Amino acid sequence: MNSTVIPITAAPSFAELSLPQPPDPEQLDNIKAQLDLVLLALEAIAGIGSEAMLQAATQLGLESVVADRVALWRLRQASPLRKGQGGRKKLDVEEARALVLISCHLAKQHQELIRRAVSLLEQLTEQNKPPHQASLLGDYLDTFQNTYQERMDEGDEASPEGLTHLALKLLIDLMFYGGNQGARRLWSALLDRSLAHRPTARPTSAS
Amino acid sequence: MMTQANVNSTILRKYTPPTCTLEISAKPSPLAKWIGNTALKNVRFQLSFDDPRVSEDQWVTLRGDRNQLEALADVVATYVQSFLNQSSDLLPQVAGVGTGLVATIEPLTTTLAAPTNPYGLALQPKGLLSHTLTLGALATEQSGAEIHLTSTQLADLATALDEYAADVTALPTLNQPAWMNSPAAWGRVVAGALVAVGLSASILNGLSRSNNNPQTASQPASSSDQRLALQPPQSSPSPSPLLSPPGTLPPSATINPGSPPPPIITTTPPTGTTGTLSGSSPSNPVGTSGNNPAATGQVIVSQNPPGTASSGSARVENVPNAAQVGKQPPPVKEVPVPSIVDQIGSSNISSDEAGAVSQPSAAAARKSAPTAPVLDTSQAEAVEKYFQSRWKPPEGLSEGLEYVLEVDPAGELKSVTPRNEAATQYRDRTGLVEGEPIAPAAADGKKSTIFLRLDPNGKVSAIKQQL
Repeated sequence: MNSTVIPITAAPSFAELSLPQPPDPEQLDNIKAQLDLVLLALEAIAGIGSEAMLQAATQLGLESVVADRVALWRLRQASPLRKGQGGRKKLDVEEARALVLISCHLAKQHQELIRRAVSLLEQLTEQNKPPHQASLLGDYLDTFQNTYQERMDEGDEASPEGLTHLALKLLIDLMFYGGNQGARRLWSALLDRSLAHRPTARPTSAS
Repeated sequence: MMTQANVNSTILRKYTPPTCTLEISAKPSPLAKWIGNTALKNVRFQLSFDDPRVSEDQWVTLRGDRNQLEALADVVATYVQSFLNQSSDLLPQVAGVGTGLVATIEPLTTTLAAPTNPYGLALQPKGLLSHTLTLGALATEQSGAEIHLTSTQLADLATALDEYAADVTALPTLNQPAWMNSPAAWGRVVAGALVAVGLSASILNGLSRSNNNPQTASQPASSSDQRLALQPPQSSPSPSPLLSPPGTLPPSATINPGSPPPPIITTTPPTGTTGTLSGSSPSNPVGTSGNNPAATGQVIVSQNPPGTASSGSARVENVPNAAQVGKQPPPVKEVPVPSIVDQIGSSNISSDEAGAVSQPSAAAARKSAPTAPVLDTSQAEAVEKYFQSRWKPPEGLSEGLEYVLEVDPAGELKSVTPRNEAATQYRDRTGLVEGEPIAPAAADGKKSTIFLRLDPNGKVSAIKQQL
């Protein structure tokens, strides 16, 4: 009798992360920005660096899309929010998908930590205490804010409250992105925003 | 974590993320033999919001049928997606308008349209971290018209519903290779697949004879993969709204049509179905034993009767959630069971016919509560009670202790096997003494295996392994 251990949640195939039609440059801009920030949140909460992201790429069989540290940097640098005019600004759909899969894979790996952080946030909020009171959250928010300000073009102009709000929202999102339907949810969230900017009527969000 | 047991003709599924428990019961349809489908009927669910971090008197239990469950799943999925979509609104405008980050720390406004559905179910945000679930037709006197969920509770609910959806077959979403349509193909079981078990032999045997079921005509895969097919009340082949493409499953996964109703092995996953949250320390509210709080990846698969002509070899597989890193999968056992193909004739699979596979001690419970989820709990409950009064968590214990107990037919503890390191370490603090009577005599006169978990917060859980 064989006893085989199989991960239930294999990564969805590219075919499932589909696009109704190719995104236009503005939509891709939105996608790039959001993806970069999701990864930023992961960095800040779990100390994930480019090494872990590349390892995830390898585990997911995405080396051809995200080959090395430089490639990864360029993909993230493509975000319109980032400082620096030089460098590659493109991100094609395949690359976006790869980043989605990598992000959700990492969110799943660190699911327990992310969940603990959200639980703490819930408790403190219920007690009307600021999130910084928990060191896990305080460190997360500080790291997020510092890194954001360091990397983003208008980073210094971002208010701490705004950054806190963004960081906490992303943290909660990560909890969902680490779940079984995470990649599909993240993909839908990216598309929803990008589709919202189309001149045509806003479609209902894909679930 | 999903556990499953087959108590004769009632198929049970149980999904147990940390803060809620979703139990599904259903019966195989007697028509399954003819429609060649793994059809279920009378699907009932029980959803308990049993967050260990809140007091038990605040726990809420909802019950309903399949349609209501799917409506709830729909509401939750839509709401979660809307919630996630909102994050993009927090970003600075990227088209050069430059409004800057949204500075307010105000809760997200109720701009999320409340989806309407026939049962009056709805979800609304009540801030970033709180969500109000309007229960509509599912409301009870105990629950009230609405309940409030935290984000973690919402995530757990979504997880349980996602897991259920993944187990329910509707339409195939992958093109089936040609060999899937040949009768011979049904005899093959492909390794490396999830298998949803709990289907009678009659259902599966029907696959090899007929795939003309209108429900399956457009869904050849439904009987070929291992998920449950729900027999819709209207007999229409419309897909379940729950389903998302099961792309994670290889198309070649099949159920052995000769498989009998599985005696399912239920195990307590290492991450614990209950009590994963200690609730005692604010700094560690989740997963005191390092558990994956959203672990839902346990699927128990039944085995296959050897030597059946058209059968391959289904495997008993214990599939831990991939995120349960570092945890050992629970022991997997394969119990050969004679085919009950010959017993298809009767529309009621009696306890005698399924005697080889059923839990006789559950027969009484089954008969008296056809819609209630039934597991053979009498011995397990007794064990729980026995230890509840004896278990005194040692100081400094930070994770649950898990043991496999062998209990002889007379109810005496025969052997104790620790399943985690802490269990080995604290073995002498547990009150487990071999030879002690810890349970009533087994109704079936057989020895039994019970999984016991002792939590640092004093909670005791025991589950009997279904043989």
